[in-house]
Amino acid sequence: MKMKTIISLALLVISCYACSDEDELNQASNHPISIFIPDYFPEVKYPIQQNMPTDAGVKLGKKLFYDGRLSANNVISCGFCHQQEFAFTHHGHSVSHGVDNGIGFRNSQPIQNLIFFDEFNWDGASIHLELQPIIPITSDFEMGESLENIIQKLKTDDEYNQLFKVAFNEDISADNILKALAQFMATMVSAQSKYDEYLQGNSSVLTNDELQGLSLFNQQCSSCHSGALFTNQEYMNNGLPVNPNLRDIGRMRVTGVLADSLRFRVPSLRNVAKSFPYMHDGRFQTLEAVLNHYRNGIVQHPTLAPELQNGIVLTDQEVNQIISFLNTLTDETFLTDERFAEF
Amino acid sequence: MKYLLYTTMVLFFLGNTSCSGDDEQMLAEGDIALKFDNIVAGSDLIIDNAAYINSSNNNYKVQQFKYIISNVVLIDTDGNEFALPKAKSMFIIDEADANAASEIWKMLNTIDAKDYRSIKFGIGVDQEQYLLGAEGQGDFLDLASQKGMMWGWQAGYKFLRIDGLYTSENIPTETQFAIHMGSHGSSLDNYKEISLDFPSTLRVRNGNIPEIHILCDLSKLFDGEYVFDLEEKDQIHVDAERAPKLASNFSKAFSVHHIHN
Repeated sequence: MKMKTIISLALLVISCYACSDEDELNQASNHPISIFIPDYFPEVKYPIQQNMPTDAGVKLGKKLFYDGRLSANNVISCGFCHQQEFAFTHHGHSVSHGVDNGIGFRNSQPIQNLIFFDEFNWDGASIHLELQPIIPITSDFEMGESLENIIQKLKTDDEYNQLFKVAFNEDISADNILKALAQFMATMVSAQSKYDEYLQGNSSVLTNDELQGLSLFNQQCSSCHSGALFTNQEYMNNGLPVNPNLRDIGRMRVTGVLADSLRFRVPSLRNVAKSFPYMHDGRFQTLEAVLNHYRNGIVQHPTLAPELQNGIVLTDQEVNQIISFLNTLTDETFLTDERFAEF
Repeated sequence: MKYLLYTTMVLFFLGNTSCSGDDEQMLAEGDIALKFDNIVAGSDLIIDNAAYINSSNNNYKVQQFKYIISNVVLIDTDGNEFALPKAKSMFIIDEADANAASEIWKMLNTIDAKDYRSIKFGIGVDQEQYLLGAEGQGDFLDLASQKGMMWGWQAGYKFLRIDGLYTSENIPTETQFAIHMGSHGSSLDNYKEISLDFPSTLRVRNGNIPEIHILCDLSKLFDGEYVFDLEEKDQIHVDAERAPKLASNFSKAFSVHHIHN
């Protein structure tokens, strides 16, 4: 089993810090965090060298992630819509609700393996992991807050003042709030599913049905849901009929280009069994519903992905086999990892 | 403690009474005042009440007018560039901040004391700056949020924002218009850099604050290489076709009217 690891050089810098008992404590907390990545994973796109995750930074990021004070009503934390048990999606919600009964129009996506992406959200609205949280934080139907107010709130909390000093040797600021969140998110790599065991050489771990499902998946689905993360990271129209209540034009919302109309970013399928409901507006409750859409629900449209022009032909048995395979992408270790847990 | 204070004071005085020989080694620096003056052709821009007309016969009033300036560089009389640190040369020019003389002042600090002949700056935020992530934005992120210069659905800046009311031949009732222009994620970069010559030499010296009076002519946003008629479209938010043309028009709206030394 081959692994590649990221090891920070930050420790060298931090160890030159002046010595005192208190500082020794601080030094320990500035230990870099190692992130284990299988060699079959794609390249890291996040410029991690500029914000190396440290023990203190990640702890701070997690505390912020689960802190309702990042929202206007002091209730809606990131964790509210990104629940670990559901692969950091919003349990059972098609779209999420936020402050003041605000209702969104997009399905909450998993927070996992984000360092391998350089564009975020269903329409690629954010092009830097550190800046992505600005969207939900400032959106008036999500958290409805401003970074300025958040800073004022956190400054009244001695624990935060202390944690920021240790992690960044600075006072609380918009930069280091966002960097702490990014450090926390950077550590959330999901690579220990049953399927990963299979990829790492344990050929007997998948059942016959699951192996059949894998084979069918590779033939029918992997042109878009490709690679170790099961996404080509492109924006594609998968033939969903437009929901007249939402009128969501997808990628075109960001680029303004007509050819991007109704295109959404192909999502990763890791932990897909847990991240229901599915699609950008959470319209499908089950994987069966998803596959039935691909079999006979595709709507023709000028921007429809060419691979889906004729739908995907599958028997009922094949549908079950594919779903069996997709279930092997669940990473229980990730879903119960205390390092990411709220409690 | 007293001893430390005494030593510091002694060092301070020594430093300040240094001989002229030291001046050659000390780099003289000064400040510059940028005075942005937003106009519409021959008139001052007056918010809310004044009406203006463009070549497409749109009759418009302006309620909000803001733009982002960044990456300020001064070019001396020998052609050498003096670039301000990126974090110190990002400004939001907001007509609502104008003084009684309709001017918006922004200070440039610690510029090398020399003679300068032109200035270069960017309209908007460049992609490189954006991709620096959280640290790269500094306090500017908060400022931009407060000024309504960020898109909530995209963690990206609006480079230019004009909101107002207009009537036109086929639109007789007063109607809202808005032009919000920025880059579209990573797919469309509307950042433009421009270079403006000074009509006379700018002298930066220690202790003196020269002024650069920059005009921004809003009429050029509508009437440039691209003639923009609000009747065609009066809400520009993410318009891949028009935003680049408007960015290009707007890049020609600036000039340096005069220098005060």
